[in-house]
Amino acid sequence: MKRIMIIEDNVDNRLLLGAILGDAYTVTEHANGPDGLAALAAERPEIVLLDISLPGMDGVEVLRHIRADPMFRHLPVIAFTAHAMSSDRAKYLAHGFDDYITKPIVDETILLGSISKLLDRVAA
Amino acid sequence: MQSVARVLSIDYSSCVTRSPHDTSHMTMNTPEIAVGDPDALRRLERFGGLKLREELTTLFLKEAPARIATARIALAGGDIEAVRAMAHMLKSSAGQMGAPRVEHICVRLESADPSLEIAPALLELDEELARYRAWLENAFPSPDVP
Repeated sequence: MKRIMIIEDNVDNRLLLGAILGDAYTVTEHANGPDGLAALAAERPEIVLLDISLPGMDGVEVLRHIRADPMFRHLPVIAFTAHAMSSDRAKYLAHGFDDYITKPIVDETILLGSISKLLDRVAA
Repeated sequence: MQSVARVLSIDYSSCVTRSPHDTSHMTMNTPEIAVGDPDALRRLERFGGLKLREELTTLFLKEAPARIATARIALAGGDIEAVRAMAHMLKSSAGQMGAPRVEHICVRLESADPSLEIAPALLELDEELARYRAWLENAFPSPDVP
C-alpha cells in the first residue's frame, strides 16, 4: 500500500483521517511538524497531509523544510486546514502546497480524489 | 440571550464554500441554528461506523471544556492570540462533530471581531456545549460498541 503521513495536532482529526484512509493506505501520524520532519526519511511517505495551524512550527514552515530537502522537494503535500476563506486556497497553493483540503471533512471523495490524483502525477 | 445574539451576529460573505452544516451565513436575524447536526454524526458513521462516531464525540466532549478553560486562562493573561488559536481548533472539531452553534461561536472568536466580548462568548461556548451534549445523548445514545 502507498504510504501517507499525517501531520495534525488535533487528535480527533487524526482519528478521522485514519478511519477514512486506513483501508487503502498505510497511514502514519505525527502531532507536530518537527516530529513529522524527523520521521520523513524513515517512513518515506508518498504523500503528506499537513495541517496548517500547528503549534510552534506551522504548516507553511514545515512545508518550507520539506521543500528545502532535495530528497523530498517533489513530495506531494496537501494543506489540510480549517482556514476556508476565499483567499486561502490561492495563498496556500502559492506557498507550494500541491492541493488544499478544508476541514471539516464533509465529502471524503474530495480528499480521496486529491490523494489519488497526486499519486498518479508522481507515478507518471 | 443578549450575548447569544451578539455572538451570532456576523457577516461571512467572504467564505468560499459552505458545508451542509456551515452556519456562517446566519446572523442574529436567523437564529434557528440547530444545536446538533444529525447529518454530521451519520457522516462519522459512514467514515468509520458507530465505533468511530462514539470515539470522536466522546473525545470532543472531553477536550472541548478543557480548551475553553485554557482560553479563559489565556484571556486572563491578555493572550488573545491563544484564544483565537483555541477557537480555530475547536471550530474544526465542532464542525466535524455536528455542533453548529459551538462552531459558529468559534468562528466569531477566531475572527477577532472587535465588537465581540470574549468572556461572554466563552460562557456561551460552555452553554452551547452543554446543549450539544444533551442533544447528542438524546438523538444518538451511546451504542454498545465492542
